Amino acid sequence: MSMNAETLMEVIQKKEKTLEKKSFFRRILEAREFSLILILAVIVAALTLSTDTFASSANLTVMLQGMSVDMIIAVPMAISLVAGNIDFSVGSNLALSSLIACMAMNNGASTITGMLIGLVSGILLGLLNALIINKFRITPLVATMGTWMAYKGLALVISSGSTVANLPDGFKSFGRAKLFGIPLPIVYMVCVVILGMFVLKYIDFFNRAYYIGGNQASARLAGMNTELFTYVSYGLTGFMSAFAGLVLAARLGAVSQSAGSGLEFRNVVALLIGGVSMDGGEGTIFGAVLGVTLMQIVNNSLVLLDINPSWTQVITGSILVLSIAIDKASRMKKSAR
Amino acid sequence: MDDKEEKSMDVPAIKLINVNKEFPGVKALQNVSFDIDKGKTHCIVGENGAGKSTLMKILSGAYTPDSGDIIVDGEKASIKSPADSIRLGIGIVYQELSNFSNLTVAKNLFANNLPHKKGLIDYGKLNTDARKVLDNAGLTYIDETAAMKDISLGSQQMVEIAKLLSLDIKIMILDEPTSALTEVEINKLYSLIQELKEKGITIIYISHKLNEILYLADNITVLKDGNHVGTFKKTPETTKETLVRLMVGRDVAYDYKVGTSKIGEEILAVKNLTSGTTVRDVSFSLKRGEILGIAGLEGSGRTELLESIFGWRSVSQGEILINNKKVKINSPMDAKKNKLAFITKERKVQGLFLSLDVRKNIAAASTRRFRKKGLVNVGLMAENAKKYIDAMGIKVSGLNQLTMNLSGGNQQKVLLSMWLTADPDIILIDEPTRGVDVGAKAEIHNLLRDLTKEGKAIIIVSSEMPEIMASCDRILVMHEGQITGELSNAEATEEMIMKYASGV
Ligand SMILES: Nc1ncnc2c1ncn2[C@@H]1O[C@H](COP(=O)(O)OP(=O)(O)OP(=O)(O)O)[C@@H](O)[C@H]1O
Ligand SMILES: [Mg+2]
Repeated sequence: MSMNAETLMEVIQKKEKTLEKKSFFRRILEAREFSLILILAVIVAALTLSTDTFASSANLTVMLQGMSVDMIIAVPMAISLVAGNIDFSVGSNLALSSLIACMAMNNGASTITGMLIGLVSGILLGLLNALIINKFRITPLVATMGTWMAYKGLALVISSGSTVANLPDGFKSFGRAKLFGIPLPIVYMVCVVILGMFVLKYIDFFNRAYYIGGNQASARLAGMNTELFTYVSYGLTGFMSAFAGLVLAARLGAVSQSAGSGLEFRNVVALLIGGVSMDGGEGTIFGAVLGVTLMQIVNNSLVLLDINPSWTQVITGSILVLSIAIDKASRMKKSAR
Repeated sequence: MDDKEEKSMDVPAIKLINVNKEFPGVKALQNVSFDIDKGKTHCIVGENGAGKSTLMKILSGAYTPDSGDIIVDGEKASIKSPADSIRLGIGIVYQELSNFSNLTVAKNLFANNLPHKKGLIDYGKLNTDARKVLDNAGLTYIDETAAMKDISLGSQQMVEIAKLLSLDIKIMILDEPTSALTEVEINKLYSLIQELKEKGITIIYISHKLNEILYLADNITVLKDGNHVGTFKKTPETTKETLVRLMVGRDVAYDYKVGTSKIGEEILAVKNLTSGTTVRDVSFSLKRGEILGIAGLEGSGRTELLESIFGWRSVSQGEILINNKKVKINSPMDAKKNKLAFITKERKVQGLFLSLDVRKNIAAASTRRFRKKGLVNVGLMAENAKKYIDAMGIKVSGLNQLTMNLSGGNQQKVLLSMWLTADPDIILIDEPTRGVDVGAKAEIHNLLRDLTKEGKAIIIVSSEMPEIMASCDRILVMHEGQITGELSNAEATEEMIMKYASGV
């Protein structure tokens, strides 16, 4: 380059772009969670005004307790899904591992031993998912749909279709006792949510979910052990499924092979509504909490408003499509800047 | 004398001994052996598909060699994974961007080593550290909290380079780092490289831009078809021509035959075209037989202008006339109907079907033509693909090789073939030869010139001024969304273009 061009280059460099940051306010407006909170607020306000039962403490307790099982599983599912690993087998895992635990108790195992057996089965069933995904390179959705069916079938086989009841009292109190007047399932749920938010944000290993889900090849090239993450996240989801299964069995005092059926689908929808991307790389536990809460409130309101509960699916389906459409629309505007 | 002795004792940063790597149907590397000296800038050149990136990926642990030894700093290294390579102090910026596009710049910078406080990720420090890294690299204009996908391609590339600075590396590999960079950014990169060299870091640098090689290199290695042709010191006698001869095996003409096609009547007229604030009140005309160049700095609206013409970007004002008839182009489909083609610069994201084979890619924009009795005919596709593979010298192991396994430059050629197959009248090309080797570059430009002789018209956007000056009949220069100058091929000089481009 000649002298002249070099001086021109200097001129250009001086005129260079300056740093522009998005304002804090703008960021909040753009967050997926923001639109969800708005939707929730509108629904809650409408229900509080139109019914006198919705805001009652009895109803709130019922609702929170009702969503605790879903929520406890939704948290590890969200972590896993952020990394791009969907787990569709959670409902079947819940049924199978809680059945195993309760049958063990009925066959002479102590409450503690029975529960441990259940939790370990949950972990193993979760790890099996990861093994299939890692070793046979089968996509997570296909792999876990397979195990979803298989675990469901196994639960049916070992229980021969009958309900397992007559559980020890010590075990039942695990799901029925209260702490400072709050039913234990709600306490568990709150703990799991807080823990989940914390680890996903602050613990290096779990935070990798965002890298792995964002671009798995790049994550590998950056030296991250993506297979290990898959094992841990499915193992954890399996563990929490078993834990939720035990909470449910203890609360109801019985367990059958149909426990947790439909849970996987409900939770996947809740996570999608909450902004956890199916492709991975995006989402927060807070969003997942909002998603599960929204699903629960919709269910509850239909009961309160005395609407045929068959409408549930129509409404949640519509909310799913609507919330994702809103999100996409706001993104399109952003990129058209 | 003393000096010499010290040097001979100095072990090379990397010693390669008989490295081999074979992919199905391609011997990507055959018995490659050479030394990379410590603290030097070692440039590697070679045609598309010569095996440059493959060799780098072996060093970075992305691939494992079939056989051969790699000696790092005098010790035999076993690089089985990227983590091994990082541990050896080897950092790489891959040819194809491999970042985490939906994460923030800061999280990309520290992907390997997020800052911690008491075992927990420290977000405050993450952002302040990222700011420091960016500022140190002279990237004061990049927001560390922005998502990677929201910043320009060039900025993304600079972030990846800056990322290596935050790691404790001894060897830095840059695989065609400048192909997505602007002039200003390239200057920044040069000064960064200078700083790194002063710190004693070894740099391995790959590029098809031979000016860069001659400017930066201490040592140069030439690869050809997977074989090591030679490694030598750069001396004042090393010229572009010597490099080209080693790389290609013959001389390459830099004359792209401007002025040899007959300029006919107007085929496209753009009047007062405006799209938001990026394209403002642009008017120009394009004639049959003409290659029109659009120059300008990044952000000047040159890419956006092409996007607006092609219906990819919404237009708020203005009109487009084709063959003197007003047309409405609201989508790429409308554009295609009007016989326009647009070859984007982001070939991986917009353009190629990476998981499909070469044959299907080349046929992709004109599938209707490859039917016999209403059914898709693979034979016709193959015939057509062969034609372009010969014409452009595309290096493939077979017609059914997957596009994702092609070398970067060969992917670019496949993308060009795909659009030429569609037989458009007006071709818009953004960075036509990004990542293409010197020989192929000449072939592509000759091919484009031949097309204009058939009465087609072409608009080329390029950030390489020499390319624009060598290939275009007329040059428009843009600055902040507006056309600030028009030059004929004869008038154009780098200074003139720069002057208009900077708006001074
Ligand atoms: N993963 C793969 N599978 C199959 N073939 C591959 C793969 N990666 C590279 N190749 C082949 O190996 C050869 C060398 O490719 P490489 O990417 O190393 O070339 P390069 O010298 O970097 O070229 P360019 O200048 O175009 O980037 C090419 O023929 C390419 O098609
Ligand atoms: Mg390459």
